[in-house]
Amino acid sequence: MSTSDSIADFLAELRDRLQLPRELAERLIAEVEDHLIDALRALKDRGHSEKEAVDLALARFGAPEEVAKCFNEEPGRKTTGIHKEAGMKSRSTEGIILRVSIYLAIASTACFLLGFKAGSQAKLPAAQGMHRVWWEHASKSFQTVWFEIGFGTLLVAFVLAGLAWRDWKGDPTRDSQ
Amino acid sequence: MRAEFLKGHLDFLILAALEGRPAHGYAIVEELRHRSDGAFDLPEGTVYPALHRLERSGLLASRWSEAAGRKRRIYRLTTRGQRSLVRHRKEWTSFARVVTLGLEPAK
Repeated sequence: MSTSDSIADFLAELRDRLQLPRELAERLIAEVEDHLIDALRALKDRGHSEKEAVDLALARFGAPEEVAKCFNEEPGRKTTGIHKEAGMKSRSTEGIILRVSIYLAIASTACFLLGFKAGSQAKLPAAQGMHRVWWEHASKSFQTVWFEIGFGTLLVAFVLAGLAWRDWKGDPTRDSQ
Repeated sequence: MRAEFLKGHLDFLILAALEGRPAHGYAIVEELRHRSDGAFDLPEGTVYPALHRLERSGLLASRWSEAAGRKRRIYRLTTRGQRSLVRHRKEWTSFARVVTLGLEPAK
């Protein structure tokens, strides 16, 4: 039996035993094949014959049934310790940041509306003389302040949303296939 | 060393092996072997389920990379994984110190 036959048989047996979605199983098989090629090369570089290298690489990797068992148990595996903790932390951190950024975006919208309202009040026809001048000046100042607060809040909301996005993007399950 | 000892800490060891250096599966196994002074004697195949588990938990990320005509799955620590590693390293150091003290022969 040639080297490629031994590895192909191993991979075929592993593929048969994997009880995973096809796409995921193919990805795992590709990774295992890659691993075995590297292992073979390294063992041959250390002076092992072709046959010895294949036998050793496959023995070190583990029996297909054992490896498949580990993989098959994974999806149903109870999440504990480090994984549970990581999942909970990620959900809470991203969730809080995202929620805060949404609240800030709403607040900035309110600020803009108040700014527009203040601007429109500057043209109140009822105001007369000095009172009118003071009223227009005060309204424009209010408008500027509301707009400044609105822009500031929106900027902070964008930054926080960006941080939440970065964390979410860092979630590897997104590019795992 | 008993394989169960290592198996129980495999996830942390993988995170540590990937700290600051993304790597593919075989390189991770080699790094684990190197770091354990050759004591890492688990079947190499058990590393892959652990990698996928860590990836699902958001502690690792992976992508295909192509070099010299070979496609390889490269794993890296996520920010979350890095934080988790730092925290558990601290906890382990403290735990190991307490156990070491507790196991010392009576004077």
